Amino acid sequence: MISTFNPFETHYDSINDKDDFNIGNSNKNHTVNPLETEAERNIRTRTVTPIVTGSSVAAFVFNGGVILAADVLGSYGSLAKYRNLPRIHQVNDRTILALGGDLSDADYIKEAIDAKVEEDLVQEDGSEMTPLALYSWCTRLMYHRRTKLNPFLTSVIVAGIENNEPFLGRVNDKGSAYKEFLIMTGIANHLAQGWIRTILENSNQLNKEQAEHLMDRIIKQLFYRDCRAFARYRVCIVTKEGVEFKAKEVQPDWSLAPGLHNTE
Amino acid sequence: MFRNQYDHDVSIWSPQGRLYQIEYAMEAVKQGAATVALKSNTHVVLCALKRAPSELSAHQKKIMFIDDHIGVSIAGLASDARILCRFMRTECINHSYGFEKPMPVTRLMNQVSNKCQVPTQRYGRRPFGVGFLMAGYDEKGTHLYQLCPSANYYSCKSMAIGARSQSARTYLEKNLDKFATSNQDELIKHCMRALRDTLPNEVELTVKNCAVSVVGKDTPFTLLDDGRIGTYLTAIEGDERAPPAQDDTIATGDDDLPPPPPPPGSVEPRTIVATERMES
Repeated sequence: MISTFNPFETHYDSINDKDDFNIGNSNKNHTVNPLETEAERNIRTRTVTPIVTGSSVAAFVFNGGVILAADVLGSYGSLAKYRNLPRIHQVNDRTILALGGDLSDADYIKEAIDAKVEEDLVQEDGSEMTPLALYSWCTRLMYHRRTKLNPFLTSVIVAGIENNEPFLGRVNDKGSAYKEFLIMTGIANHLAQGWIRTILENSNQLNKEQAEHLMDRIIKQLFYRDCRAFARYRVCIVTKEGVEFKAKEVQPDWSLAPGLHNTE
Repeated sequence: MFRNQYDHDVSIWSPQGRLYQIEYAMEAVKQGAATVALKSNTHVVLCALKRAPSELSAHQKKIMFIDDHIGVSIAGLASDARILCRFMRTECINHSYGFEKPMPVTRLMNQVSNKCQVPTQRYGRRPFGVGFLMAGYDEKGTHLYQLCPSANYYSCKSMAIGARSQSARTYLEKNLDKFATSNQDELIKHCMRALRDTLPNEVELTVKNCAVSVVGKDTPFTLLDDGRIGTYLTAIEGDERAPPAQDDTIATGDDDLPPPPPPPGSVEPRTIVATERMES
């Protein structure tokens, strides 16, 4: 019997080849439908749950400036996956952006703002983003996305110096926004908002050193109580003189721990 | 039928490197009634001569409100100006919606200039036949810009455009040093004197044919009412009027009529677009 094998015929593994081509016009075409993803099949998809998340951001106004702090952890669920993801960004020498929640959305927002800043720069008319302008712009952006039923699952904090006055504002994932002298996002809103507000309202305007000290206390408390918190964190201080970033690490004291019961 | 063989369309170059359709559009500005603007460190003043197309009609609108901190005064085709004004108002309102702060004047000028440039380069279109002076005040201070149909714009300390505006420019050049530190009243008076210099001898500046507006520090853009214009008119009444100057616009004697056809043999228009080559 004559073999049908022809060594000159090209051979394609068409079963495992998902692309919809048929080189050599083979009659046997075992390709699967190449439209693999939902997006390709024109099914609209939404991010419903955040994937990589950042925990709380804490920020408050002190006498002559604003202080912000956030740890540098990107959690993948409960896994401490990315341990060097700073979430406080400098937009220009008087504007700061801090992000919490879904970090891929945060990244998108950051890139959109960077593009905007670049656009302003090439116009060469000397006008710059200010905290109020950025706060307003972020509000429009977040509200626009929630209206399309596709919200950014992040909370945005804008801080800086506006007209020589400290500015602090926050936009949530639904685009509602407010300006306050104390802003906590995420679980810090539950764990730290109350006692810090009491301290700030009772103290007559903290100075920079006191503010920094208080911020360290906040982060330390959050590190003790928030399961997604991380020891390494960044502090950012904006004053009229400029922006100052500090990388710090919580020095926890667990000596109390053996005495604690009923924690399970 | 044509003035020359290279002016059929804006997209046609002449061998000398000129674009005749754009130059003709620049001529349209020179036929519009004159408008003068000048600025100090704190205020910008716009002043315009209003014409009435007939005895039966009201005077045309020359100064337009754009935003609380920006206004423009036009010379040329008023209908084209309305389109540009609508665009500028939209830009301003969108900016303040997005950023909760007023549009920077320079940014707006750039936007509107970019819009004007498009029909200077497209086959079958025509440039906007309007020039305007934009007065604005923002965080960078006072701004005065002149925009031409060629889509060029210039930042000015003071400027006059429109029919017989050369006389006003002469006045402005002569007094240029005084403007920067003048107060609002002084500025308005300078502006009105300059505008008055564009008038033929037998015509007087009146409350009816003159529009004045001011914008500046703590002063939102406002068109002055007749009473206030009247006060300033009285204030400058006795001041010396400049002798009628030789104008670079085609002298017609009657500003309401288009210029007479060019003398036979002359094929070159008398204006130039702002390019490096000033004379061919």
